Amino acid sequence: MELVCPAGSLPALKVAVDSGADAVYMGFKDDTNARHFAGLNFNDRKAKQALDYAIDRQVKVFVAINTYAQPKGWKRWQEAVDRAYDLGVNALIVADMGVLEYACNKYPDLALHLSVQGSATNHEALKFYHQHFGIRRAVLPRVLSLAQVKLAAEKSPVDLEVFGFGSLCIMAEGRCYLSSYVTDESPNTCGACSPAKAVRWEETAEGRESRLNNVLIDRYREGENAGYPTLCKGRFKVDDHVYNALEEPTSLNTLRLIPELSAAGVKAIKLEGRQRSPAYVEQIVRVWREALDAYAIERDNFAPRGEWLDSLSKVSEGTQTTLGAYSRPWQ
Amino acid sequence: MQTLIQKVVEPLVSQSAQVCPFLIQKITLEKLLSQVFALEIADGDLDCLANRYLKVYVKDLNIGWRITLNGNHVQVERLGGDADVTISGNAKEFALLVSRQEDPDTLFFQRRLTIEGDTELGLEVKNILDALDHENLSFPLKQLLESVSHVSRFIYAA
Repeated sequence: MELVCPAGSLPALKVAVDSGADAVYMGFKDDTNARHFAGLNFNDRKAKQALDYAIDRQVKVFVAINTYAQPKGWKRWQEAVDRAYDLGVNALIVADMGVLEYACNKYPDLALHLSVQGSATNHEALKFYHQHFGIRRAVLPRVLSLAQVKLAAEKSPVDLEVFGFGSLCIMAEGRCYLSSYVTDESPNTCGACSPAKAVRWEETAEGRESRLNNVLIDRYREGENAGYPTLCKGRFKVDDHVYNALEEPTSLNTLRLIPELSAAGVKAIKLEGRQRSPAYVEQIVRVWREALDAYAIERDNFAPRGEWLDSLSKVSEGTQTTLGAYSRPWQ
Repeated sequence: MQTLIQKVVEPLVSQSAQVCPFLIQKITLEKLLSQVFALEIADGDLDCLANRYLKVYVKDLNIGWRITLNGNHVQVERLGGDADVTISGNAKEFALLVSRQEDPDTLFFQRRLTIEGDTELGLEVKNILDALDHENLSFPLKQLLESVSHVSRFIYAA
């Protein structure tokens, strides 16, 4: 399985390449990608350097143009596709059908991957994107259980990529309105969930208070781990009981599913975290490289090693990891 | 080892930092930061700090500065006074950050770093730091970073 790794900056990209990525994915410095944060991502000069560095080392580069084009900014999405093509990237990761159509009509030889934001959950949906836009790969939504992944893989007309590690959210990929509800901006439209300009942290006598557009979404007591300031991870009072009503801050970690994902025919594993630093990228890529290499040798005897799990837990949001939806036994 | 550091090294550094006249800190830091961020300043990446102040506070050493961009150079001011955003933590956390041994989000989740004020400005500065290509730094600067890395690995290895 191909290891697809996040790069929010040139140093992160270099360290991903050096630590064993088979492919890296990145975005441009605007709202055409779902990690549109100040200071993050690649201008033309850095993107060129990134391409040179990766291609010299036989590592593929994908560009995420995975937000939904807005009527006012359509030109920006077209330009992002043109720019990526001119750079000579290996594939685009796209969610919006308008952008998919533009890319497949103008550059028929350019490989297109359906972004997780496209939220194709079954083989019929995959067939639709394949027929209309010629996608070659799809990133499956994280909301699927392992049984559903297997089912989709059996009849999928395209290669499948699944998430292996990273911060989990409510997993209504491409359809989540929680951030818009509080801040009027969302990953789908503006490229940022809970944009930083709407976030305020305050250290008070009762602990760290986290606010999103002036709405208190959590208060972390002394010694309690904090999470990203998103509505889905906040603690709210429901029937006089204050708790993580939607979900707890947690990270997905599927190291122990490697054999099953591989057997299901999954072609690539994606690691989340373009918003994280080079130090994070180095740690997660190194662990996953070792794990995939170990699986290639050990096969049936493969089991995740304690030090890998420790290493991944350390950088996890909420410092806990789960198998996410993959493990839902009731499906 | 940890207690030795806490009892001897940290007070020593703290005292020398506090005894070291502010003007010397200012000149050294301004020169260092302007060199490190020369490319970023030229590219306009640091414009977010024009007329705005980032406060860096090292809690256990009780030292810190306010940093802003004045034209094309970084300007360092005394701690007292307003800042748009304040990043605070202990010396260990800053050493681990600068030498790229720890991820800032991890430190933030674990409550070892705090960011108060304009979160977007804080995030932008963090991302600019992350995007800094150490390979472009001059040889003495690379050596300085290497030393921070080695020293922090040595004294903070727990």
